[in-house]
Amino acid sequence: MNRDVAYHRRKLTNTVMLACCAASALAAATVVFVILGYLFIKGINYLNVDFFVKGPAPLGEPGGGVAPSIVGSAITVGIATVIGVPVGIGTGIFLSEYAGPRAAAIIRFTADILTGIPSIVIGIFVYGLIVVEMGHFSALAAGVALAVIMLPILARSSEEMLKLVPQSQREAALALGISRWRTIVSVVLPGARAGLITGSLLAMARAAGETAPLIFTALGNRFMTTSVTGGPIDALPLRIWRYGIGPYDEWHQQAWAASFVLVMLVFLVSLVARLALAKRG
Amino acid sequence: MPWVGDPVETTLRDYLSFIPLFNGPIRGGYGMLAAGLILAIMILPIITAISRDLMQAVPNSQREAMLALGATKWEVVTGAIIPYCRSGLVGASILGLGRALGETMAVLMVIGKDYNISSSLFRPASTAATTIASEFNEATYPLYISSLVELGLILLGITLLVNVLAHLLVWRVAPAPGEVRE
Repeated sequence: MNRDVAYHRRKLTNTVMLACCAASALAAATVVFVILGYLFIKGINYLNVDFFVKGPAPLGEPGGGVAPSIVGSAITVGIATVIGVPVGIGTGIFLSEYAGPRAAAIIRFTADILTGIPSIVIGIFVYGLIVVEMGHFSALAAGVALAVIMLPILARSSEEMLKLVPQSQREAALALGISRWRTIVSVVLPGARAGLITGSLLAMARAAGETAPLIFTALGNRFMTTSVTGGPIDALPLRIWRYGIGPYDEWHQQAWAASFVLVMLVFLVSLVARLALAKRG
Repeated sequence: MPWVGDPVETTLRDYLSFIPLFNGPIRGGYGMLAAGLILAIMILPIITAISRDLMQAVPNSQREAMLALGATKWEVVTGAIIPYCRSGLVGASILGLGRALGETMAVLMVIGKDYNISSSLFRPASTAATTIASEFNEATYPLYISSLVELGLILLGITLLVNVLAHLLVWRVAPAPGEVRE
């Protein structure tokens, strides 16, 4: 009789606790859909062609768009990609192909620590490094800051991807008398291409959503600029922030629409990246 | 955001106002409680991802041994999996804490701005990161900028410490805890 009670209690505990775990998982997954849905409802009404092709309207006038911010985001993320991807993938190659276990452990550790450094601190760092030296804000500074944020993500993901290339392929190439770097360029990198592209896209998506470092580097600009070193430039997250905390209703509407566009962009890029990887695996 | 002010904060105040944390004027939801909720959502994915990696590092033989003794699934979790990676789970949580410390923009938008330390969670406040971000554009003379950079240095020091500690804990369980996740 007593054993029976204990048995049922154990079964009950099991069921209750598993249900709790499932509920947490459900809650975590729901958050994503609540955010997407809320942005959709709030943002979709203010989306129109003007939004994508026009600059901000003068204060108090309706209409206008965020074209300078979209262009600015494209430029800054582009610079970050040009700087960050080669260095990041290079680090990945070193970690996976050349480094001894000790060196690799140290670099991995520093990469992980770099991931944990707040983006705002990276912003200040680049402010001191580039903005103060150059004397003004620029897309270049923003690109460098975003590149620093992309670096550790790229290094770790490309290392993982390169490690998936079978050792036997490297050995086959080396057995033919091909030099080490030629093996990497002609055998290892093509084998991991899909994974490397995925990693780069995810890092770009991450960089596109960063706001804090841009305050110190890009500053923001209501007018269209395409100059890399010429002066302040705008970016979508910055525009959302400025409009979001501003006092005008038109600004809030634009902020919702811009948030929706930004989230959709990042979401699409991540989705494409993951699908590309899934197809290969 | 308003829903944090009403009903969440009004309800908390109605029932728990004897605790100083839940007592005080409500400012339309802006304040520490809202910021904390946002941060909880933001650090959720990283803790989930790392915990999952850690639990996958638990050898299957450990699970099978518990099951062979007639344990239920939950008993396997509490008896075999959690003890095996306890320090790693603590590390994962601290890693989440590190992210929360440095998170700027989301907090900036909901925390309000107040430099007084108050006991009520409903009051506005400011964090190191939000102070830097919100005052940087107003910083007009070199000393002001330098103070903000100094604040950044302090923030860097704290997050470095927290991150190193967390990684050491995680690595004790799983030597290479998966790739870095976004």
